[in-house]
Amino acid sequence: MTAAAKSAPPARIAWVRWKAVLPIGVGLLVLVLAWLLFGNWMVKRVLEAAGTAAVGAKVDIDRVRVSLLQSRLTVYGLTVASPKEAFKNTLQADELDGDFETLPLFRKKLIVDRLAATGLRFGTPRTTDGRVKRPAADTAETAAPAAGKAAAPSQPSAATTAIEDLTDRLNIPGLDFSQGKIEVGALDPSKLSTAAAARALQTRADSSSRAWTAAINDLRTGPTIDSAMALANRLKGAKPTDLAALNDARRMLSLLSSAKDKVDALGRGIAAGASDLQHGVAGLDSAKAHDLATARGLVHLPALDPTQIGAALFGGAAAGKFETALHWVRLARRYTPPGLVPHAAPAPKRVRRAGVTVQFPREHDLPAFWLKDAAVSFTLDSTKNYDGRLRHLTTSQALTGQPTTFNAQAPAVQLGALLDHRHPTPLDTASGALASVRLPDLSLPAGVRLVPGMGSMSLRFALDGENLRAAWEVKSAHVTWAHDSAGASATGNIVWQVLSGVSTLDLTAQLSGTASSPSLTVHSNLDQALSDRIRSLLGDQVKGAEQKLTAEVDAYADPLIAPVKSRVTAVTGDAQQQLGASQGKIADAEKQLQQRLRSLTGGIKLP
Amino acid sequence: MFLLKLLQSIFSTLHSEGTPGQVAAGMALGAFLGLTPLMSFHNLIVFALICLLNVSFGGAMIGWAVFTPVGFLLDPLFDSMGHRLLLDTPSLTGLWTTLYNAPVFPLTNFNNTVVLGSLLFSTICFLPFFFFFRWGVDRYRATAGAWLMKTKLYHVVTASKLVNVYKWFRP
Repeated sequence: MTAAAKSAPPARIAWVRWKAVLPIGVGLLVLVLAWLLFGNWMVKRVLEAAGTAAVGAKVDIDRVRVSLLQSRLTVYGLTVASPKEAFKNTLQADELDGDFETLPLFRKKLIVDRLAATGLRFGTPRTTDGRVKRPAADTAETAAPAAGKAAAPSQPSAATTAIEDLTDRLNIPGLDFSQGKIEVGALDPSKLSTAAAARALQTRADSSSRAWTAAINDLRTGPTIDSAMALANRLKGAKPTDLAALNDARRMLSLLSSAKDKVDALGRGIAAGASDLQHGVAGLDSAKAHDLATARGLVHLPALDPTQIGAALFGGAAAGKFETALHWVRLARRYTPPGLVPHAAPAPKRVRRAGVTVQFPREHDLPAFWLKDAAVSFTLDSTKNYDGRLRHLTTSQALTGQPTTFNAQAPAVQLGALLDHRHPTPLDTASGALASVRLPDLSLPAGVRLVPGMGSMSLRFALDGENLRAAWEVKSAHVTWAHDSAGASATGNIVWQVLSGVSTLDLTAQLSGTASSPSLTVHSNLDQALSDRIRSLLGDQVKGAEQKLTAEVDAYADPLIAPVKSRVTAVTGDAQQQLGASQGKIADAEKQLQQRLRSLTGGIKLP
Repeated sequence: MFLLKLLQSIFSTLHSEGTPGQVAAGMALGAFLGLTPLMSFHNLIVFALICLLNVSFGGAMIGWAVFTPVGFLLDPLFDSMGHRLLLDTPSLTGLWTTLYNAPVFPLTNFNNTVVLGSLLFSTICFLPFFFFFRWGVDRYRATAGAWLMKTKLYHVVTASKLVNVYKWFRP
């Protein structure tokens, strides 16, 4: 560095690099060009990623056309895989053409005024597994939020749980009697309820005994009775003019009456308690009966009750329908939470950690997404087109003030759905009735396939809060049967022998209870026929197995029940005996005192 | 090739005519790009600032390259910070609600836990980074810089014409 340079004052540094303006302008032009060239592709990728994250299954799109000037978005070739079945699509659409509002986009809100969806098909096959494994951190579900606090994601996803657990929770009986033998497994006492019921009743009996003994002791009738008897003896030598003795007698009679009232009141209390304990005893018998049923279910005893045959035959298929409906309802609840509480949802996957994206809806503002009106054209059996209307699909019904509705009506088809999340307790209902359509095949658990052909089917599903009500009905007069490719088993052969000659199907499955504790009942015209046939084929074995199970449950439950029953009898008997003794003594003292009094006064009634 | 470019960038930046403050400011802004998820609206603004303000463009590229892996490593921390701010602090809900419903702000993706956490972290660290980098460049130029300029490695690395690309934005 030269001396001149050293002595020169430091050059003033300009804050702005003006020569960069041109490259930035060029860069912006490149961005615009990139949008023109790749904008559609980018929107396609964003829609695929967001859809996959939302549904939990692959969402593929052939191509997308976006026109910002016309505020129009067209999606071609949409495929949404099934989150439950590996090689099945939930839906496919040829084209979705919608008009959106431009200004809300600057607030990252997508408001679609009109959408036309054409060529929708449901349940189509696919060649690759479309299910997506959710990362643990991303299996977010809205928990019930505390007031003023954002709804945080919890794990695991309730939707996923519902998909995985509903069938398990229904405890559908098996139809496995391979090689004509019935397997009877070991009972797991921890799953039986008699022990808990017996312990609870024993505790109640002990507690009642202590309480009754204390109450009887608290009556302290002994001194009163002794005083009354002593007074009666004193009156033997008293004169009619002894007014003091007469007054004492009257007071004592009053005391005895009061003691009698107390004893009677306690007697009523003990009688009520004893009745309660007797109900508990009856409850022990119910618990034992329940344990017997549980034992049968656990060891997969092929029950001969026609309703259980129905559940074994069609329970899996029915549960599948209900599971699917429950999954989509759960998903709707996850993305459309009630109220205006901040709501967290997993962000679309990216190279870096995705994190959680939180929506903060505000009163009188627009929701993050609102599809106002959609005309939907779909096919159900690849032969006919049906038209439907979807309205007010949104992320916040509290803002739009409208429930989401869908309906489609045609001579042979009636479909409807209502998702009402405007109130704290959401109500979701869906129903569909198809008449004279080709029904899908049903794979039965014994390796037999039911081909219902043309017939009618209806599905009703409602989730009111957490309460489930659902029904699935199938009717066909042209049923045929086929062996599944898995090959025929002994059970399958029996089922085949019985059912292959049956040409009608009348099936009803009903789901009730709550999502965490559901209950399924299934009836069909095939149940009785199969039950009778199985009974004749396996009657002796079944009888033996049932006797074995009954003996096992008896051996487990009776030693628990008998001492508790004895204890209840002893406790109530003791209490009633003590009380009876007190009542007898009081009555005796009262009688003696009155006799003395009468003899003293010569039968004249004193005021 | 990438390492060579990085070395070229480091050498040309550290030995440029830019002041240590310009280099440090560039690196601190580059750290912003690296620490926060790249495809965010705020990074467009940061990039525009890097280009428009008279800071070292090379420094920004170094900051970006160095802090991108750091960003990946710290993502769990950012997620946790964002979670705390967005979901566990009810007193801030009003602010987030206002920003969420305002124009443009939602485009920054601030309502994502990782984005908000990393943005806050970068903002807090901006000045400490700036002063640290300025001190570091000062020390480098006063000690190792003159010696390194005489080594063969320096001449080999800086001989490439690719260095000229960085000179377009050299302060």
